[in-house]
Amino acid sequence: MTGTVRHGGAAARLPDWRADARRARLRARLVPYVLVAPAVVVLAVTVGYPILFNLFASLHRWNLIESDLPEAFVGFGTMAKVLADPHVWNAIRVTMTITVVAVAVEFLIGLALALTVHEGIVGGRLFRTLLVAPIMATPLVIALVFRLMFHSEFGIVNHALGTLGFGPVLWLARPLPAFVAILTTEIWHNTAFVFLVLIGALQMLPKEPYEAALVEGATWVQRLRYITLPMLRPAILVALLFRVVFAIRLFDEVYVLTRGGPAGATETISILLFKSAFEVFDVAHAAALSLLLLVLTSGLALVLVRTLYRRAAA
Amino acid sequence: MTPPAPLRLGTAIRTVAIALAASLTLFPIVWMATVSVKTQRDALSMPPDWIFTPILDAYRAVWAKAGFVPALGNSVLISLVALTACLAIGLLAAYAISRYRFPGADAILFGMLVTRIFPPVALITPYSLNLRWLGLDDTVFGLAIAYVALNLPLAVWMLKGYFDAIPEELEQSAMVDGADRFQAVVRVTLPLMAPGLAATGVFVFVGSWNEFLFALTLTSREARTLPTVIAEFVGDTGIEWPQIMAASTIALAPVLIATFVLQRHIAQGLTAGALKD
Repeated sequence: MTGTVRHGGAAARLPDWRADARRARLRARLVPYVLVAPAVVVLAVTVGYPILFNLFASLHRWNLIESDLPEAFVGFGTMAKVLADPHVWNAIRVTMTITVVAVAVEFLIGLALALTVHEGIVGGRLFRTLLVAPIMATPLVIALVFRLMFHSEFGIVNHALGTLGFGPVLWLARPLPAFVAILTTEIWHNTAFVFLVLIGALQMLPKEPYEAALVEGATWVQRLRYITLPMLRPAILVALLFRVVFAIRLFDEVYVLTRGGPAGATETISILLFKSAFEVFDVAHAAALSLLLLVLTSGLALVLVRTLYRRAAA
Repeated sequence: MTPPAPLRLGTAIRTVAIALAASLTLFPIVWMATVSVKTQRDALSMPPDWIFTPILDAYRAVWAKAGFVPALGNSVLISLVALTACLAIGLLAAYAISRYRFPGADAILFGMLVTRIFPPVALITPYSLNLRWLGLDDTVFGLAIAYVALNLPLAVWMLKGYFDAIPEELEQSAMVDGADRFQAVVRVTLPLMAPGLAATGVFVFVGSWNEFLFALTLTSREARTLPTVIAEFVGDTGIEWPQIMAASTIALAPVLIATFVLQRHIAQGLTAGALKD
């Protein structure tokens, strides 16, 4: 409507069809914005608004046990408290340790499996399908199955260890074994992803460099070191980045296996945040922790976006 | 297929190694299914009996357990709502980003990737409070909103990739024949990208089906989904493992089928199209 009014003067001087054409062009230029509008609005409301809400909540004193609504304005007081909280630092340490160890092991096993399958085996397609089976499995279900397998009395893991002559391990009741149990679950679940990404990339590598290497008499190790790994670099980067992104948010497995215990040994950031929001009902603390988590992961996001953007542009 | 070469030692060793890895991969899934068809006493006796008569008592018990069937229904319903909304909204956005050059397109695309990188746990407090204020806590609709938010970026990224793969000229030639753009897309492009559309839909469905944290915090009774009721069964006194494993098998079966059917699309889907097949 406003467009018609604004262009009224021009339209009077120009023949009608030119004004029409201009309006049509304007409308055509608006089409993509109309098409993306629903998605942008949905994400603004469901992701943007909650982040702002966290910012607002973190600036106030707000515990649901005392009040449904935020109480006194405390500025960055809550954030300062969060940053000084040893539980928070413990959670960051636990999350980082799980992430680094799990992703490293997943990468090494995934790479080894992919190289082995690619080198040539009998029934490659079948085994590829089987190895990928866990990739989308419901994390909660997997966690329950591992909780049963790691049961200290009736678990198959302790039974297997027993037949090898090792005493029963109280898997979920001791800090280090609990940590190992969670790592095992995580690694079992997600090695498939690394394997799938790397085997896909291996199969797309050009043949020529290998033929040249064969002529030169390069050994298997040399071919891996100087041809395969450098050419796999982009795929390795994608696999690692995505694994890190998802390992950082680890929740379901820990919730089922240890609920963060014993004594915080497996308390990830997600578990701590869940507890502060739904067990302590400290909205401000949970909100400040959420913001801290967003800041910590945004660096990672930047690296990931850059990497993917370079690939998309190439 | 080339005629089978004489089995070389290297191939044999590699095959054995991979077979071992595959058995370790499958073991927990097989174990789950095995326990689900045992009695509690057999399930917990070590060493385990590998030869036994499977019984379906645990499945019957779980099916009759309060809350299980409604949760199954909720899981299907919420996942379908999320799938429909993500595909509808995602198709519009993906089409615009793929076909039009406009300022802000890249920003939108990367904004979506970033929202997918942020850990969803950072959203649970605002979600829980706001849905309660809106009277939408513990409703199918409220949880579905969360699942649209969690899965929409993935849907847009995947669908954009599939649109990119189909030449725009096909649409233009349909438009020359008198169709408008919308008709051209519906009649020409969408049928061509049907496999991609199906893959995206399955990803959104599985993503919602598997989700636990939001279901745990945004529902309490009425809108409980499968993962949350199964987790509650564990809280009961005296864990009935065969029942838990039976419920787990029911929850996992559709996901395993989807994994098998979707094989070609999985790498692309899980990396939001970062890997082109």
